[in-house]
Formats: sequence, C-alpha cells, structure tokens
Amino acid sequence: MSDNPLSPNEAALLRAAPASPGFDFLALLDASGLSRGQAQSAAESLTAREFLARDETLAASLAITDTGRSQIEAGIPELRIRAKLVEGPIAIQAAQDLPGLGRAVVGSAFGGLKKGKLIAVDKGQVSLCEHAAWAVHEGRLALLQQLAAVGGSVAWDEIPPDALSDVEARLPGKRKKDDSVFERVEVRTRRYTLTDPGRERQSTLAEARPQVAELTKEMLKEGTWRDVEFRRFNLAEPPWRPIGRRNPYRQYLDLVRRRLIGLGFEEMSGSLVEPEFWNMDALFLPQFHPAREIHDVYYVEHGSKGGPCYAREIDGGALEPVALEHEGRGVTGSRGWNYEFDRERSKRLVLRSQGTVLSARWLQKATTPGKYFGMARCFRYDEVDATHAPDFFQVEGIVSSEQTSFRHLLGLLKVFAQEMARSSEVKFVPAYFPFTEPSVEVHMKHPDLGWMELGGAGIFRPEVTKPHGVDCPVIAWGLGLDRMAMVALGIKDIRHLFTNNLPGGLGTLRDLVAR
Amino acid sequence: MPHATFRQVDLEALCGESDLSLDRIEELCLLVKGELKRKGCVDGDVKVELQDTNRPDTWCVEGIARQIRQHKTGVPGDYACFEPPAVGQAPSARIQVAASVKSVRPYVAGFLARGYTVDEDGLQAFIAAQEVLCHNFGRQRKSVAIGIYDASQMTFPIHYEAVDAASEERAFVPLQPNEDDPCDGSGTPIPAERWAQPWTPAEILRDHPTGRKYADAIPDPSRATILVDDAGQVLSFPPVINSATLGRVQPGMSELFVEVTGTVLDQVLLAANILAANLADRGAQIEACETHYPWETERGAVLPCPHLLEDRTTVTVTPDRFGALLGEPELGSAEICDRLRHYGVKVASEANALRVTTLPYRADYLHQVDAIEDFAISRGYDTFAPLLPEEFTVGSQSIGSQFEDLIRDRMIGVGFEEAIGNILTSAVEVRERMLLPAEGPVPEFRPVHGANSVRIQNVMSVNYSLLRDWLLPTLLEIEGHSSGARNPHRVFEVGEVCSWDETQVLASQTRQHLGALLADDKQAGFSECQAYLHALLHTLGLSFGEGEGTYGLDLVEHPSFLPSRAAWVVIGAARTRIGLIGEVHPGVLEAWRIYSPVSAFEICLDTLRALLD
Repeated sequence: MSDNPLSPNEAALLRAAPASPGFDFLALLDASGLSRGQAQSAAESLTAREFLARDETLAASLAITDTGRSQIEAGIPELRIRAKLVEGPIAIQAAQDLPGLGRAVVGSAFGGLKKGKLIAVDKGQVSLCEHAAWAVHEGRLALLQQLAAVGGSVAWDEIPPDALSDVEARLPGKRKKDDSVFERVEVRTRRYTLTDPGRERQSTLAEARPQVAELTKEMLKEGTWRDVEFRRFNLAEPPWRPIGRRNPYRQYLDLVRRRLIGLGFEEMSGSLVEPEFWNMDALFLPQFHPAREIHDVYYVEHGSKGGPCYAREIDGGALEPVALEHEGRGVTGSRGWNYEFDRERSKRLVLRSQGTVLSARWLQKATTPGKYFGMARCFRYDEVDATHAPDFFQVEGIVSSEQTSFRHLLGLLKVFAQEMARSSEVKFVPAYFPFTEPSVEVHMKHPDLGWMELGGAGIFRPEVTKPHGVDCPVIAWGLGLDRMAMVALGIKDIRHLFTNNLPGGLGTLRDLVAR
Repeated sequence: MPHATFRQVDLEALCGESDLSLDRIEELCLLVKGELKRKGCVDGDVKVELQDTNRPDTWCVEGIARQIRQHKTGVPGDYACFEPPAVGQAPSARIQVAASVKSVRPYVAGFLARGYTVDEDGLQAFIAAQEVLCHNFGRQRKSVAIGIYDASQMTFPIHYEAVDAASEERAFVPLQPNEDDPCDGSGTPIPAERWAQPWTPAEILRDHPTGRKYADAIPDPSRATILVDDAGQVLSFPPVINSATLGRVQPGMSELFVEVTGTVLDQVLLAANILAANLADRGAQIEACETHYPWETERGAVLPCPHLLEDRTTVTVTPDRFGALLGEPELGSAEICDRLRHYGVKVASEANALRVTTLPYRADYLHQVDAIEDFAISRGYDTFAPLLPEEFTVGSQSIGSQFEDLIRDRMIGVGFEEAIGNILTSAVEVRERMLLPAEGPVPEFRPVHGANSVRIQNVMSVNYSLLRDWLLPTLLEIEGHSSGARNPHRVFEVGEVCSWDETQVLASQTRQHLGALLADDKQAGFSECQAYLHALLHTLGLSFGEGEGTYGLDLVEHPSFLPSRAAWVVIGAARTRIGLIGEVHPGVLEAWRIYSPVSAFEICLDTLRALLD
C-alpha cells in the first residue's frame, strides 16, 4: 500500500511535515500550499497509510460567557451592591435595585454576600462589612477582563489558583445559566508524528515539489515556479495544429520567378481572354493554320447573345501592320502566307493558349536592351488526363537587344539549363515555331531525369517584330517546367500540381536550391 | 503533329545507306526537325514525329531520305520534272475543269508517273504520304485531297466537274472501305452484292462508311465534284472516295495518274509537287499534266503540274545577314553556299548577294531568315558556340505579383495553407452549387462576381466550360475532398478569376482574388473568420471603423451565405466594396458534401491595391 504513488496533496503535506513529534496539520497550510480541508484529508490518508501516527488529545479551557462580557462593562453584581453601601447603610430594596439584572441574579448575589458576612442586614437596613472575601469578587472581575482581552478563553491550567474555586463554583450546572460568567470548553486536538516509513517516504520526496499542469503568469510574478514541478507531457499522441504554408507548386514557380528576376528579367502579366490577334496573328500563325482549328483553342461565347465574341478593337494600332505581313504586303518584304487576312476574325476572343501572347503584347512596350518574362496560365483544347491539366502555367519571355544573335540565344538557353536544373550539359536541336526563325529546342541532362527537353526558343521572325516598330532581333523563349516540377515534387499526375485536398496534396517539396 | 512511319530498309534504300543504327537515324532526323519515336514500333519500322508544319515534304519517308541524301552528297537533287519545260513543249496530258466546280472545290492538279513498278513498301509509303498530307496539311481533306489511279486504263483528257449529288449520271462503284462488315448510315450491314453496283455521290455520303467519315470535308452535300476520264469512266468523287476500278492501285502497276484537288491553289500545287518528287525518288519518270480552267486563277487559266512555284522558292540574302543573325560576322559566302547545297537548296551568286532557291516541293521561304536557318541546320546547331548575353538589364517583379506575394505571406502567417485551383471549371461549380442562378448576370455582387461568366463556345467537356469568377468554389471543392484531414481546416488561394464584361475591350476582366476558407467542428463562425480578415487588413494599415484609412462590414444577403451572416467588406469613407465575408450556407455545404461549418471571405486584390495606393 505504501508503495502506491502519493496523490499530489499527500505529497505536499508529507513534504511539509516537521521531524518533531506531535505537530498540528493546521500549522502546515502555508508550507504545503493546501487548504484546510485538503490538508486534513491528506493527513488522514497518510495516517491510514501509516506514514503518520495520530495522537488525539482533549484540552480544556476557560471561556467567558456573554453574561460575563456584559458584567465587564456594568460591573459584577456583588461589587455594584458594595458601591451602594459605601456611604452608609441603606434599605434592602434600595440595595437590591440594580438595573439591567434579573431579580434572581441580584437575589443570588445578595444572598451570597449576606451568607459570607460581607454585608449585614439589620431592621431592613443593609450595611457594608470589612471582609477579605471582597478580593475574590475583585479577582473575578480582573479574570473576566483578562479573558476578554486575550480573545475570550485561556487554557484551564492557566487560571490563577486563588480564583479557581470561585470559577468552578460559577460554571454552568452549578449556577443558573444566565448567571454564569464562565464556561469550561473542551477541545479534541489531533497531533501527528512522522512514522519511520513516513520519514523514509519523506526523504524520497525531498527533491520533488508540487506538480502543476502549466506555468502561469502568477507563478512568474511571485516566483513560485521555483517551488513547483510541471506535470509530464503526454507523449503518446502529438497534439494537432494545422500549419500555414505555401503550395508546393506555387513555391516551385516562385523559385523560377526569383531565378529569372535574378537573371535580369522583368515580369509581364496579362489577360486570360485574348483576341486571336494577340494569341495567334501577331505571332505570324496564319489564320488557316491547322493549329487554329476549332479543336485546338477555346473560343469565348458572347455573354448575352451567345455565339462568337469579339474584342472591341485591337489596341496599339497593330492590326493593320500585322495583317499586311500575313498578306505579304508588309514592311519586312516577307512573302506572307498568301491569303486574304480576315481582320474581323482577328478580334475573336479565345482563352489564352500560349504564354507567348504576353511577349507579343510586350513588343510594343519593350525597351532595348530589355529582358522580360511571364508566368502565364494557359488553356489548350485537350482531354484532361494525367498529362493534361485543364489549365497550366507557361513560363515564357523575350530578350531584346541590338547584339542579339543565334549564338546569344544558345548562350541564354545554357544559362537557363544551369539555373533551372543545375545542368551544364545541353544539346540544341532544330525546331519549328511559326513565329521564330531560326528556332531551337534545348535538351539538357537533368541530374535525375537524364536527357530531357527544357524548352523551345528562337529569334522572332521580322514579321512578328517589325509591325511593332522593333527593328533589332528579339529572342523568344519558353520553358517546359511542369515535368521538372513533377519530379521535384515527387508526383506522377499533372493534375496533382493543383490542390485537390488537404493537407497540401503534395509531399514535401524537395529543395531545388540544394541541387 | 504529323508522324511518318516506314520500313527502315525503305529509308536506307532511298538515301543510299545500309545498316543505320537507330541512334544515327535519330541524329539524321534533326535535319528535318524530326524526333525519333522509339516506343511502340514494330521491329524494322521507324516512327518519326515531324515538327515543321511548313515543310509537308518532310512528313514522309521519301522526304526524310531526300534531306539525308542531300546532306551526304551536297547535291540539291536532279529532278527533271522541276526543270522549266523546253519552249513549245506542252504536256501531253490534260485536265479540263468545268466552271461548275468553282464554288465547290475549284482546284485540281495531276501528273503521270511511269517506269516505276509499284512495290509493297512504295505503295504503303505513298498511302502514308497521302494520308498525312490530306489530314494535317489538307485539314482532313477539306483543303487538299489526293487520289492515285491506274493510268493504263484511262483515256485523257480528264474532266473535273460538279454534279447534283443525287443524280445517277455519275454514279460509280466506289472502293470498299477497309473494315469488316461495314454498315450504312442507318446501322444496317451493307450486303456484299451492293459493292458491285454503282452509287450516287449522295448515296456514298449517306451510306458508305468512308463517305460518312468525310462528309464534313465538302461544303455542300448536294453538289459533288467528280473526276471522270474522256471515256466517261469515273475516277473518283474527291475528296471522298475513288472508284473501285480506276482507283484501285496495286503492286505491279507501273503507269500511275496522281491528282490533287482542293480549295487553296498553292496547297494543291505544292502537294502535287511533293508527290511527284516522292515518286521520282523511287525511279518514276514524271510526266506533266496541264489543268485548263475556264476562269483565270491567281496563277492563270492553264497551269502545268508539277508546278515550279517560282515566286515562292527564292530569297536573296547578303552573306553578312547570315553572319549577323547567327553571330558569326566572319562567315564567308563559300561556306554558306556549300552548306546550303548540302541542305538541298540551290544557291547562285548575284551581285553582292546570294540567290537561294528551294526545289518546288518546298514553298516555305517567306523571308531571308528562312534561308539563314537552313544554313544553320545544315552546318549543325552544335557548331555554334554559345555566347552569354552581354547587356545589363534590371530584373523586377510586376507590381501585381508583388502584392500577391505580400498577401500570400500574410495568409500563411496567420496559419492558412495555400492552394492552387484550376481556372477552367463549370457552371455547376461556380453557380449552381453556390445557390446562384445557373445562367445570367449577378451584377449586384460585384466586385466578387462580374456580370456574366466567361463561357466557352466550343465546349469539350461540361466540366470545363467556363472560367471561375470567384475562388470560393475552388476552396469548397478542396474542403469537400478533405473530410479526412484533421480540424481546423484553413486554406486560401491567391489566384486569377475572370468575368464577362461587355464594357471592356476584351469583353472580360481578369482579376486577382484572395479567397480564404475556414472549416472546423467548432470555432468556424463569422467572428473567427473576421479575425483573420482583420489580421490581414490591419497589417495593411486599415483599421476597423468608418472613414478614410478604415475598412468596415456592411450586411448583405448573398445566396451562398447564411442569411444575416454575410457582409460586404468595404473600404474608406466611400465604403467601396472589395469583397465578401460570411458563414457558408448549409445548402452550399451539402452540395459540396461538406459536413462541418465553414466560413469564408473573398476579396478582389486589384480593387484593394488600387484603394491602398
């Protein structure tokens, strides 16, 4: 039984118990931090567990009664009678006229004085006698005053010996209750003493302190944190808090953005809805091109009338110069595409299908030298599956510089391979884009994936740049980052780049910076 | 992108090589911007994906082999059929065009190929070239369609005419489709004896499997173009099907007639030239054929085929243009001429410039830069040493995306997890499940909603038929899939939304929104949600209240939120609306299969940023 753990209250009381025998638990309230009730029940249970031995004693004390208190002010009856007789004998009735006291009390006091010969009665007149017993009455008054002064009671054995017989004679039971100025009170006290097992157990507790669940402001203010012990954590199950964090794919795109800014590129942005003009015509994609069929691009429906929807105008005055290039009548001297350009169709609105739209639009505002990039959400007319998301990000841009040549284009792509995938091995292969010539695809040896395509690029055809008054060569580039992102994020389905559920959907993003 | 699949031995024979490794073929394919596809090829077959949509001549084994052969020999190729005819020598064969085709399918070109006995590989390659040209170059036969015939049974001239599709006049026995148990338009199996009987064009369009497949390629089903020889034998009903008699070409034949019909003259002529070059490469002598139009085409009324397309094959470039564009100023014309010839291009010096001419199976020289790229490919991209860009530029993030990043940081800081959703979605998601009307504008809820949604005209799947105009549906979809995740759920997205707006130049407005959602079994109410909104706006310098520099809330009844539990988020003395906050309506939660309380807010970042500036 004694091996069972102590309750916190038992421990607190045991810790506070003094080595000296016969202590009172009430003296330990402060030291143990327990309330009277907690301390009492802890003392009882420690006794039951034989860590404490209990010694029960009865102690008697003398207490003043209410009658006694009233006589301190008014005087005790015997002395009041004496005061009346000091001037000479008076009539019995006058001697017994003591306001505030009952007849019986007065009669009893008068009878006592007469019987003890402290007064004498002769022919209806009462006279005072000299008698040593007057000191007893004076002593009683002094005792009453003393009792009132010390809180109403003294231990029985502290009663002055010469007053003891008077006191005993005046206890209730001997006298009428309303004539008792004293009472004897008996109190049962429990004293405790540490047993040998108790002392032993106390020593194991010597280091331990009261246990608390949490640190409070009060403990810090009062410094009581020193006296307490903090309850042990529950190690079985971690508590839950959701964490705020970036989406891993966004984080990947943020990284790409930082890299591009670091390379001196300025960010472009634009609308999700674009006219065919900027999406295709401005990129010198002929209107009859197979990639412009209804099944390659999403057309916007007119919001109120239904049917096709057109831009109000083509901004920047670019429509006519571009149209002329398509028709082979433009300023570049290009043969064009040998057809009649449909200027109305040019205004038809589509969902942006390639990020190069931004580059085309930026040709009007680009400075030379200038480097620009955009991370554009694009839409392509495809069945949605593991390799085709309904919309996706394209990272594209331009470099406009008087110095630009094909070799600079290759140099830029090499830098991209290094920056985006820490790849220093690249391969350039001929490619075709309607808006660039020469065109190139860059393949790189990815640390994890082996040889893979990084992106496509080229030098914008004059038919693309000159209509906007740009005479210098402009590099156009686009990076295919989704596959690298999927590897970096450890996912196999492109749709998982986008968030489908919590938490996060994706695993931990592997840090590309480390590569 | 177009593909070419062919026998490796056929390629080797055509380019005069043997035992090429696949790695070597892969390398050589770079000359035609081709990518070798190693997967899923039968042993001995080679599959190449071709990128250059402007070089249909490279979409077949003959074209790939030609480029490789020229690369090896440095000789552009000796094609008698592409030499200008001697003066006074008119082609022997003729196609006579009737005026009736002009409004239906106006152009036709053809030539004869003799002296080459068709073998299995050659026939397969011809069919493959025909398919890829009709499909990719000819837009599923709409603008170009090709036929090949046994010329030994034909009587010239050939007549090209348009007839009433229902008329019996030009009914003919069509080729049988290449399928088992073909059915007619009503799904009834076609009896075997039917294949011996003539069909009218209308019957072909209605009941013949091939006719049904290509019915879309003709503009008017009541008018059919017919090629018929001088003896009245029908060759074909282009672009749909050949006759079973003249139009059935088999190995062993050595007199062939090839025709191309279409709606774009130059495409028709170019396709015919490609096929002529292909057959010439296999040893055929090409005999020209003249097409006589009863009207003036853009190239005249009488057009020979093969056609030299002289106005589309030559560019004149000075050598320094090559050097400047490619970054090698010291490049000399001797090297340029040599490498261009190795790319099958003819070069002649003319004053200080070079006259660069492709053979007429190519018509892709639009500008000088096209010749310059040919040179670069011929010399090899790996021979150009990369140069680092030398000019200094300052990189910067756009103002909009800087603001987005600021908002994202704040939301992450108060413990929200970031999401990215797709923009292309459906009316079910952004409207119906949100208890908003499925159709029509909801302008009273600007700026969160616009007027109407941006809808797709050519919908592929109803699941992806309009652009989201708010983010809350995206967040609810995520929440609907997250019942297993531990509470509380706090998720946000900063992303693009788009709504229809006729007053805008682009009839739409693309905006950046912030959407934030809070879901929990407890403490997911309005005040909890508002605490996050307040944390965000407070750190942007807006205190809660009235007047300048403050934000406030104005109660609103919005169908997606509980009545009396939704408010506009407003800014400044003018109380300009920037967004919404509220407890999501239980009806909405049910629609998304969400079974714990959700509150959310959404604000338009563009509006907010403009007001903060």
